Amino acid sequence: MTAPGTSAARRDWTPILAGGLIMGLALGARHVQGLFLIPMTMDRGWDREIFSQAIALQNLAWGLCQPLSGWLSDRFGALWIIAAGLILYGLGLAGMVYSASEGAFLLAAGVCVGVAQSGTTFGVVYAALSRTVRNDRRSWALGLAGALGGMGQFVMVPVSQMLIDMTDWQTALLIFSGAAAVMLPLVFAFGSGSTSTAEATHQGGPGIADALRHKGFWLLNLGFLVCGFQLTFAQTYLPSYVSDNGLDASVGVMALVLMALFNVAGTYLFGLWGGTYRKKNLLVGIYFARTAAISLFLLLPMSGASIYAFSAALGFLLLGTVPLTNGLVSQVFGVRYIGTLFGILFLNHQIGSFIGVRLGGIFFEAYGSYQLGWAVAAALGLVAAALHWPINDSPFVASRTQKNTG
Amino acid sequence: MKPSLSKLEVCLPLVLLLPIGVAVGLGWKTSGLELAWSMIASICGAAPR
Repeated sequence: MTAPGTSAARRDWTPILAGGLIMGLALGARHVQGLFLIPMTMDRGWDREIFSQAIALQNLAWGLCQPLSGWLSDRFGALWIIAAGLILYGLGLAGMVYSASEGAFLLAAGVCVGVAQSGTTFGVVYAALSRTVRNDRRSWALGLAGALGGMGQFVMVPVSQMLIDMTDWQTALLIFSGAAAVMLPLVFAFGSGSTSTAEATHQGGPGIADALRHKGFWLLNLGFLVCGFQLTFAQTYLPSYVSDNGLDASVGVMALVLMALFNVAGTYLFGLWGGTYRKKNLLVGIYFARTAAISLFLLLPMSGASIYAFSAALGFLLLGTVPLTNGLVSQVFGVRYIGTLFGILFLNHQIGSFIGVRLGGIFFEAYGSYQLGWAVAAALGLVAAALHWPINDSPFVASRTQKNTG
Repeated sequence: MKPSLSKLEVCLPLVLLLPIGVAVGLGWKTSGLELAWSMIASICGAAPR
């Protein structure tokens, strides 16, 4: 590795930090919603079910809107979509405070925040970074921005807790809403970051239809669906699984803390390695390692130490898939439609998340344990590794003449 | 293509992020376990079981 020593390289830091901060707030505010459940429902006299419905609706809105937000960012520039997302996020969080009815709350917390997430997280922020940062530094940049986002997620928990303790849940939400507004100027760090820049450098490159006909794109989609399944299943059910096996509840909490912490390191390092090694091979490695980690977790006797080791390992492997998958798409199809294409991938990721949570619940109802769910997650890791192996990662224009073997 | 990254660019994020993470994690462990657990239990309780 050589020191670039150029002003262009130094300028990369501004959009990376801006993207990381925006994702940190967006993912963090999402991550801490559970902290507001009890005070909010008690204050309003609502059933907790309404909160669950809002979160489910939010996930759905995020997934469904991601391809559209991505397309809009490709068409009009990520800058405007991120700005709109931040405004919508602020309005949604403030709307949660001022919602007088359950319907209004669903609209604010479910639809408004969900749509806002599609404009302020990986899909659009990564698209902006992909266009701003030079090709050879892109994977590192995506990994670093993702790690900063993960750190925001991690830091927001004690910050929210402190704000709720010091003031009340309404003030805490309004502070987050204000933070979204304060972050608005950060969008200018991406420069034009828009279709004009992309088109200037990728005119004549593959279009959306080309990607949709590419076998490799669909293999990536299936792999990313598995990623959503494993990630959401583990995050949702690990604490319950730990308690069900007779360990103290605090072990489950520490497990999630470790997972979040190691995720920061993993996201950064896999992004960094993606600039040197073949991204599809790293993805194969991640999915294979997940299977190994889950299998060992199931086979070895459960103890505090085994749970912490598992959480650290899974955390390290948790979101490294995102910069690698996004980077692989831009490597094969260019950055012209990166927002749209990653939006489609992310929709599948969310479908996988939904299946993971539902199937976990169904298995628990049927067998009284999450054991089968873990086994399915482990098996799917092998499937995902096998799906990534045959992906043709050459740039599309070059591969078109090679009978598009995917 | 080899990424053109300086050693500082590679190492600085790890040097800065990990200690912050550990500090926040330790703070969280000592001060907020109970509330954090109630949050997780609420989310898991809301999920089908």
